[in-house]
Amino acid sequence: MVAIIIRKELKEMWRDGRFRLAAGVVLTLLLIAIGLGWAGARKAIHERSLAVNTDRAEWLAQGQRSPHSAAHFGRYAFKPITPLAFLDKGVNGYLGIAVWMEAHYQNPFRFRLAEDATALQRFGELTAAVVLQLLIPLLIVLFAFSQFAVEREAGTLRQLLSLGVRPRTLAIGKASSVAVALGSVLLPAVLLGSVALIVVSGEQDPLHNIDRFLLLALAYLLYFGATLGIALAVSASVRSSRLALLALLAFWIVSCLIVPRFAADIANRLAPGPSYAELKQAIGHDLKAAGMPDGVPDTAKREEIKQRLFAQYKVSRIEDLPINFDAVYLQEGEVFGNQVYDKHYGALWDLFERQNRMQDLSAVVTPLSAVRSISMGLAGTDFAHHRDFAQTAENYRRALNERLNGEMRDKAGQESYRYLSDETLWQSVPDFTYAAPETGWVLYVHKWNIALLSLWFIVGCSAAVVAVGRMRAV
Amino acid sequence: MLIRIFRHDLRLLVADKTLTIFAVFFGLLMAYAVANGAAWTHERAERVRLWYADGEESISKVRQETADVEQGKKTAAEAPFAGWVFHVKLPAAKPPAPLSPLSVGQEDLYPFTAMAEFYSKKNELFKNYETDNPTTLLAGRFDPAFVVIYLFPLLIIALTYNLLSREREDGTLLLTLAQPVRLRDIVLGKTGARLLVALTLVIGLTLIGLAVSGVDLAASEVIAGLVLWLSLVIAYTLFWFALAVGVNSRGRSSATNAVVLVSLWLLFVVIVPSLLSIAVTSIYPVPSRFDFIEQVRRNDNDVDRSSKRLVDDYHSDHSQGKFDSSDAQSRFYIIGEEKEKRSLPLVAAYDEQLNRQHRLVDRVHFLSPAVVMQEATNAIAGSDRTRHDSFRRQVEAFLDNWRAFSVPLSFRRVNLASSDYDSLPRFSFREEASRELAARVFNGVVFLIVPTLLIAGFAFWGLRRFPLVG
Repeated sequence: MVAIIIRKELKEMWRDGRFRLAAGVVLTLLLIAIGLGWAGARKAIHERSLAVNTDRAEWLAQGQRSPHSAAHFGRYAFKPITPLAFLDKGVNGYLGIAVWMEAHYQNPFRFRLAEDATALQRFGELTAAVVLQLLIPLLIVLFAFSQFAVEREAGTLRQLLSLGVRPRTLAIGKASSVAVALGSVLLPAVLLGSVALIVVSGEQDPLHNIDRFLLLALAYLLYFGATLGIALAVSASVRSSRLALLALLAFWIVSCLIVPRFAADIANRLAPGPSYAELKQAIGHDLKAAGMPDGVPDTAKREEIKQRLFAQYKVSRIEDLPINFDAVYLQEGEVFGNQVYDKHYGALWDLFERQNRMQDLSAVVTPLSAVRSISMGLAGTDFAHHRDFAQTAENYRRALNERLNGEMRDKAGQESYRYLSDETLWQSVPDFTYAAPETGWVLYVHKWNIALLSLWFIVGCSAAVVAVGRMRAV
Repeated sequence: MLIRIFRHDLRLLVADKTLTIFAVFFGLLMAYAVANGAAWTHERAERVRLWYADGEESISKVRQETADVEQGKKTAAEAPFAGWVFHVKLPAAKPPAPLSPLSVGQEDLYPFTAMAEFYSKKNELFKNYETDNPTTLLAGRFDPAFVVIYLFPLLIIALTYNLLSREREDGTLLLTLAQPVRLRDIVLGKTGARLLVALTLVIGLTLIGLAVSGVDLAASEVIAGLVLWLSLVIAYTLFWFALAVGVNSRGRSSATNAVVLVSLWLLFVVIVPSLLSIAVTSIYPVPSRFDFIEQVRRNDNDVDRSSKRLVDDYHSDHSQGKFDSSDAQSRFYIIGEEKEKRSLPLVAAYDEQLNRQHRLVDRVHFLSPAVVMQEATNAIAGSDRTRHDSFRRQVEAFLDNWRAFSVPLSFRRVNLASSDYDSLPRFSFREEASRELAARVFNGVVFLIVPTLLIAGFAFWGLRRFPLVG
C-alpha cells in the first residue's frame, strides 16, 4: 500500500514542473557549493603547507643570533584546514588564519578571511551547509505543504479515506515519497561530497574522517526528518493549502533569518564581553602590578630575583653565578606573563563559550540552531576547535620560550645577550604539530544540540502521525 | 475614482487582522533593530572616546615626568621615557558616522583604532581587532539595514501577493470592473494604499527610533544622509511593489503568487548575492594570506640578518633605559623602515585586488536590489570599505607627518621638552564630503529605479490581458 502511494506521489511531483524546477535549482546550487568548497579547500591546504615549510626554512635560516632574539622572531602556527571544512566553513572566516608565537606576548590570531572580502560575503557564502540548512527545508516545505491540504480541497482525500486507507499508512506513504524526492536531490550531492572528501584528505587516510562525515549526514537527516514531519503535520491540520504554505514559510523565515541574529544579540547583551582596549589594559595592569610590565621584570623585580639567586648559589656577584642571570629573569617574566594571559584569555574564551551555549538554546525554537552548531562542530570549524588549536599553539609557544631561555641560561654565561646560537639550536627545536580532536570530544561538546535535534525529530514525526490521525476529510 | 479605491483599500487593510499582526510584528522588529543599531553606535563612540582619553592620559603622564626631570624633582633614571621622542604614542580612531545606527555593515570587522609611534610600521598599524565572539560576527547584527533589506520585502509580499488574485478568487473583481473603472486604476489604488502602510511603518519607525536614540536630526550632514536614505528606501520599496504587481498581473492564484514572490525574494536576497560573490572572488581572487605572512617574515629575516647585532641589542634592552645612545634607536628605526618598505608592496597587492573586486561589484550589483541597497546603506551609515580605506590613508598620512617631525629629532639626538608635549600633532578623522557620498548613493537609487520602471511597465502591459475569471 505504501509503495503504491509513493509511486503515485512521485509521479505527480515529477509531472509538476515547479517541483522539477525547484529541485533542479537546489541540486545545481548544492553541487556548485560542494565543487567550489572543495576547490577552495584544496588551494588553501596547498598554500598552508607551503607557508608551514617556509616558516621552518626561515626559522632555520636565522643564522647566528641570541636565543632571545630568535624567541622574538618566533614561529607561526597556521590553522589547519579540516577535511570537512569544504562543506561547512563555520566561523573560520571570522577567526584569524595564523598566530605569531613570540616571546612575552600571547598574540591574537591575525588575518581574518572575512576582512579580505566585499560586503557581498556578509550575505552568506554559498557552502553546502548553507544550502542544506536553508534551501533544502524550503524544498521540503514546497513538496510537503500540499500533500494533504490540496487533496482535501480537491476532494480526493475523502475518497482516499473512504477506501479504508489508514491515516498512518497515508502519512508514511506521503512522507516517504517526499523523502525519495529529496533523496534524488541529495544523493548526487552525497556522492560528490564523498569523492571530494577523499581527494581533500590527500595523504591522510580518508577513512579517518568517515565517522565525522557519516555523523554529519545523520545530523542532516534528523534535521530534514524533523522539517518534513512538521510540514506534513501542518498540511494535515490546516484548513487550506494557502494557509499551510504561509504558516510554513513564516516558520522558515523566523527560523532562518530572525532567530540566528536575535539569539546572537541576546547572548551578547546577557553576557557582554570586554572591548579590545579593556582586555589589553587589564592584562597590562596585572603585569605592571607584579613588576613585570610587558611580561619582563622591571628593575626592582630583577633585583629581587638577583638576590634570590645569590642566596641559592651562595655567591655575591653576578659574575660568580654558574648560570646566566638575564635568562632567569626572562623566564620568570614568561611564567608570570603566561599566568596573566591564562586568566584573561581564559575568561574571554569561557565567555564566548557561554555566549555560544546561550545561542544554542534557540534550538528550542527551531531545529536549525541545533543542526548548525553540530554541523560546524563535525566539520571542525566551530569555536571549540579554534580554542583547542589556540591553546595547543600557546603551549608550544611556552615550551619554545622555555627551551630558548634555558639554552641562554645554561650556555650564555657572562656573555648574556651577546651569546649567539646557531643552526644547531634552531634545528633541535621540534616543529609545531597539531592533531584535531577526536570525534567523541565533538559529540560531547555538542551533546545538548544533539539531544535537542533528536527531540525535534521525534516531535516532528509524532506531530505528523498525530495530525494525520486526527485529519478531517473535508 | 483612484482616491476612492485607495481609501477603501486602506480601510480594508486596517481591518484585516492577519495583516495587522504582521505589521505589528514587523514594527516591533524594526524598533528593536533601530535600538540595536543605536546601542552599537553608542558603544563604538564610547570606545573611540576611551581610546583617545587613555592615549592623552599616557601623553600627559610622560609630559609630567619630563617636567619633573627638568625641574630636578626626578632623576633621568627614575623617568626613563621622559623627553624620548621614540616613546610618544599618538592615538588615532575612527568615530562612528552620524547615521551609523542605520547599518553596522562591515564596521564590526575592521580595526577602528591605531597608535602612531616612531617605530610604527604602516603594514602593522591596523591590528587592533575587537574581541568579538566569531559566532556573533557570523550571525550578523540585527540592525535596520537587515530589517529593511531582508524582512521588509517579505512584509511587502504579505501585503501584495493577493493584490488582484484575492479579488478575482472572491469574485468581487468582476463586480468592481462592471463599474466605469479601469483595471489599471484599481491596481494603482490598491498599490498606493499598501505603499502608504509599508512606507509609514519603515520610515516612521526609523525616524522616531533615531530621534529617541539621540541622533541630532537637525544637523546638516544627518539631514543630507537621511534624505539619501529615504530616497533609497522608497526606491527599494517601489521595486518590490513593482515585482508584486508584475507577478499579480500574470493572473495566477494567490498561492502561486506567494510561492513565486517568495522564490524571487530568495533569488534576489540570498542566491544572487552568493553567486555574485563567487563570481567576484573567482575573477579577482585575493592573494593568499598564508603566503603574505611568510613573505613578510622572509623580508624581516633578511633585513634582520643584515643588522643582527643591533637587533639583538634592542631586544636585550627591554626599554629599561639602558640604551643611552639615541643613535642606536635611530638605526633601529632605519631597519624598521626597510622592513616596511619591503612589506608595503605586498599590502598594496591585496588592496589593489580588493579594489578590483569592489569595482566589479559596483558594475554588476544591479543584478540584486538587495546588494544595491546594502552597499548604499553602508555608504550612508559610514560602515563601508571606502570610509575605512579613507581612515587608513588618513592615519598613514598622520604617521608620515609624525615621522617628518620626530625622525630628524632622533637623528640629531634631541629630546622633547615638557612644553613640546602640548604641541604634538593630534589625529582627527575627516569625513568624506557629502557630495561624494551623494553621488555614490544616487548611483544605487538609479540601479533600483531603472529595473522598477521596467518591471512596472511590463506589469501594466500584462494587465491588459489579465484573466478576470478562472
